[in-house]
Amino acid sequence: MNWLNYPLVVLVSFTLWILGTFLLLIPFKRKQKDAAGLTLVAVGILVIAWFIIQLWIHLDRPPMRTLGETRLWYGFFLPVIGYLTFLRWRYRWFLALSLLLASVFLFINYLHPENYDKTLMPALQSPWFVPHVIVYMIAYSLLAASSLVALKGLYHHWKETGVQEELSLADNMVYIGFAFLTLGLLFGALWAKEAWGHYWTWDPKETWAFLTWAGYLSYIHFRIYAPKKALTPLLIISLAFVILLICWFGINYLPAAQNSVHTYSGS
Amino acid sequence: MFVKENLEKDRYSGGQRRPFWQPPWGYREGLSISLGLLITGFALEAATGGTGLKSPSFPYNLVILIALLNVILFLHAFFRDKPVIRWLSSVPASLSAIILLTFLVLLLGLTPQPSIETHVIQKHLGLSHVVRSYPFFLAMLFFFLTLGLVTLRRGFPVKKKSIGFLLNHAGLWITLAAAFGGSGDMQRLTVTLQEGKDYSNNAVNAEGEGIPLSIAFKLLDFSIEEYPPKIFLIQTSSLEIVKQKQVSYLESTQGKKHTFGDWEVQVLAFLPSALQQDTGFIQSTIMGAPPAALVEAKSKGTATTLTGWISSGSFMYPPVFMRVDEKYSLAMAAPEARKYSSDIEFITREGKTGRFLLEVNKPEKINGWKIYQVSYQAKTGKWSPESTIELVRDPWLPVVYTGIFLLMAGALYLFWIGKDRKKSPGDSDKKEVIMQQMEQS
Repeated sequence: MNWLNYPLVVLVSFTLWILGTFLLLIPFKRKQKDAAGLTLVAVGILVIAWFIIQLWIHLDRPPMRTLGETRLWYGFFLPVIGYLTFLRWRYRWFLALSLLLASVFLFINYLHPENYDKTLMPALQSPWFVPHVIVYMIAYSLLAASSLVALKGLYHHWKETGVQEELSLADNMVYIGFAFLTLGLLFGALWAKEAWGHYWTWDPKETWAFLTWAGYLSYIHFRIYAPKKALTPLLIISLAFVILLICWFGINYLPAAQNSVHTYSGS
Repeated sequence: MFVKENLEKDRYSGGQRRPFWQPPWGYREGLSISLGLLITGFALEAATGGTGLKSPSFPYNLVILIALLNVILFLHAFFRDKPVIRWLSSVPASLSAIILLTFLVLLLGLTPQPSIETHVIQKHLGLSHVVRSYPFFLAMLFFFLTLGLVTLRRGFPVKKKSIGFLLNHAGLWITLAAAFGGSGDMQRLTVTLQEGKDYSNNAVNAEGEGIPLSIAFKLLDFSIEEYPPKIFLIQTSSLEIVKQKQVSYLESTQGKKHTFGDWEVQVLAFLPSALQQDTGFIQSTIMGAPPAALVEAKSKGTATTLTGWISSGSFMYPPVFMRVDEKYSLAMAAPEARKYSSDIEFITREGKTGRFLLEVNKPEKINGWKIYQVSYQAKTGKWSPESTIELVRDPWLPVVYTGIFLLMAGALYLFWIGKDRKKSPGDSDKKEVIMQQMEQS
């Protein structure tokens, strides 16, 4: 199992997700359909998980080196978060949106097939590699989820209906996402000390990771200070997510980042 | 910035607007202070010709940090009820400091550092060296002040409820204070060792100055483990790799197969180190002997079968391609390192001796130095006669790590609290009430 089988894998997952979402969204005989819909969504997620495991075995290294490989993890964690959120709060729209966003990222992988590459440079061969990337991908997925919530909130704000429910949900996601983001950042620092001799060198990736962290830090503080404000926190989440995306892959296009030690994608 | 609009109304929405600079201060004052610090910083930077600040080293950095800590403790102990100090430990002040710092880091993220071609304006504003610039220094000072004061005000006396707050805020203060305060004491030196040469203690710092060490090193052996080289289909005229869908290369391992367009290619034999003879490649251990593979290419269309040797070449031998038709050839890329290591012997001035194997991601500790495998001669690759190692001394590291572990504990705490918060999506009003009570207490 490798990237050659990928089109089939996404086709199966997308079909299951579309059917599952459809069953969850139509307001008719909810009880029976919910169980079926959730099962379909879950199987779709498991297919992605199974592909990741197979790819890991096939590559003989953690599939976490290239952007495409990290997008794969994103396409796994985001639906998991959507699923758990649904189980907890029964937000149908949120599960649908998280599946949609995950599909976008998985589809990018379909459009830009990954170069299959078994090599892993010595700097990445570290016990920190897997925890660092996994924790970051969970953080990124949660924060993407908070952006979806913010999007809904902005829509409600524009419609002038209340947004407190969205903000409260966004708070939960940002708090947990921020905890993971902090852990990922600190794992990265501890690893950098072992690999490159210093825990922080203001490498472009580190700089943008700090900016991402500061963005969500601002959100948390702003929410504590002005819990009734609606538009500003929603805009902070949106802006912070843009910074996150720059940090994740926009960085490869920044002139300031041409010397980054974090570019592992080119082969 | 994004939080500018409607900020003032937050707490004074009931009555009329509070006049600017009349206590209690809010966001307008905070952002004005940030802007003032930014302008002052840029002015100082320009006035000093854009040289930035040099990180103080021991004992000055320790004295400065203790002084800063004492100022914060003093302000908290004696002036905590004064409006200005009350404001400095408030969320608007924290956010103003975060925004100022973030703005400067954003400049850092958008300007190449350090860049060779620095425009004079860039230099005079400190943009070519943001983290050493005056505006950054002032931003950090503001940050340390607000973070320190809020930690004392909200974190003490320690209550069960304030543990998460304390871990995060004190952790951050300690981490940043030790990282910035201690940066002047950090030493990073490199030593380039040659195989077959005697002990060397000649280190070089970042500025290229030679510095004698109290430890001498001797490189017994430098070795590289390589991945099997990749075989590609290339355009013979341009030597460019022919782009393929997904799997783009064949691994040079006996028996491996891969389809390049019309051609099904199989590796019949692989020699990691070989020399070309009249009959083909034969195994060799001499210096510069490149890897070579015997490959068989079968055309699905024309049913022809070609067999031949290809080699990546090395710094001594040219590469060998195999033409499959008039346009395309099979070629082997230079092998990539899986791991490289130096077998090193050392002797200290005190007469302590020893031997260690140095690898990337596996530094070695000797006499307070942390020693890293850095690089080797790229041109000669696995025959590199030299190995560059780096020696790092960072006496503040334990303090930085203390801060980092507090932050990690804080993050875990945040994770659990974040979970507790999810009682119901509508409980934000309750939270608000609690927050207001906290503000008032």
